[in-house]
Amino acid sequence: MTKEESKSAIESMLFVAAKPVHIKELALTLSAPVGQVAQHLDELVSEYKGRGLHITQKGDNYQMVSARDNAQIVSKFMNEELRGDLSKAALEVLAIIFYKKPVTRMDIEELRGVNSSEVLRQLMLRGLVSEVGRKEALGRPILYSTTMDLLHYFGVQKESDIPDLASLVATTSDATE
Amino acid sequence: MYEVKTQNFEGPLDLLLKLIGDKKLEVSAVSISSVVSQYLEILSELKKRADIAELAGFLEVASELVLLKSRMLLPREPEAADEVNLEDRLKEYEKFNKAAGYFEDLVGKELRSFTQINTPKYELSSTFVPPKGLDMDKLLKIFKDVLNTMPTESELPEEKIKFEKINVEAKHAEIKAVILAKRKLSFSELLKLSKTRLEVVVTFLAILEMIKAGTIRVLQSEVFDDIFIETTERETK
Repeated sequence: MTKEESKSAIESMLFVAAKPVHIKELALTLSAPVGQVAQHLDELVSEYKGRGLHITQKGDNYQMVSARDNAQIVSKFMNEELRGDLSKAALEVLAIIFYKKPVTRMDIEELRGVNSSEVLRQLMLRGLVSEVGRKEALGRPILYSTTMDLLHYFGVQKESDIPDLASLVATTSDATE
Repeated sequence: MYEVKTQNFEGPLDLLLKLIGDKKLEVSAVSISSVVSQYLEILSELKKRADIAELAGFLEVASELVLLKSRMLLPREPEAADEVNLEDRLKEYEKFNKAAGYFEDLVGKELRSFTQINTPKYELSSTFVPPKGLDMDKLLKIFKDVLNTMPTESELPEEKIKFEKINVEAKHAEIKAVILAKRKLSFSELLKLSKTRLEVVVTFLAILEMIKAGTIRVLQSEVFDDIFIETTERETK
């Protein structure tokens, strides 16, 4: 299989999957090494710049979604509200989970000093947060992490497009001083 | 002193952050008393409408604030190593508070990617196929049988918890009046006014407050000797 054939096949698989696909699954189907598939994916990602579709990445998972710049029109087409409707509390919980993942509900509540189960439930219903396992501690509490859909919600292509906590705190305090 | 009128906060730490506001994060450097009293004021307002689970977190932070305040009234004792400092907690919280603000901006840009709409390939028709011979009377009888098998609610015995109520402010005023009237008296004399242990505690706290405010002076000639209290205020006629 040539490189172009491989890239074309990956593109097709991502399209029909319509959900996050693990790189190993792609490699297995193509009978190709993971490293090679990763390289082809990277090329595809950059080739999609300026197109109506984007390939987003979270860890080893890839997904084909609509381009973020078309958000206004696509949301109109889908009859979906684009306005951010997350409460301050929800954004705070999201921030804690995003930067400290995986976390337990207790971790979140200790940090905020307030019960957060209802907010957490809403975020899970929205698909922005999901359960990722259990902590090997007393009571085996559920561990939560943010999802790939959070990246789509924020309109970023990969997690590293979101600045890390330290630089975020540094820039915002610079701005206020 | 500035006031916080906004009721717009997400939990106790968020409230504290807003109260401290532009005074920066050095909780101990801030006039802690003014922050504590503002915090407690809002808490008493909150008590009227918030539910208990929500209040618990606010109370926890309030007690930590009071601990911080009492540390400043009394000679310092070394903090336990495992003690989580309110200041550190607030600093940690502030980071995520800021991150939430950044996330809000991100969402505000209204750049979003959408995934394909998943439409089911076929839908199951929702038709009801009743078994043969079922009529309304039978259905009613079945429904009644089901109702009968439901467990009935049994009444739980009620038990009253005795709760001692002391109006702290009133008690303070009372003690102050006694001291001002007598000019000088011993602590043990003052304690005769207290009927319960809780009242003794409140009396002691009131004394500490007054020492801090400078309205009284206390003298003790030896350890475990009786403490004498005298007012520093001039007699008012």
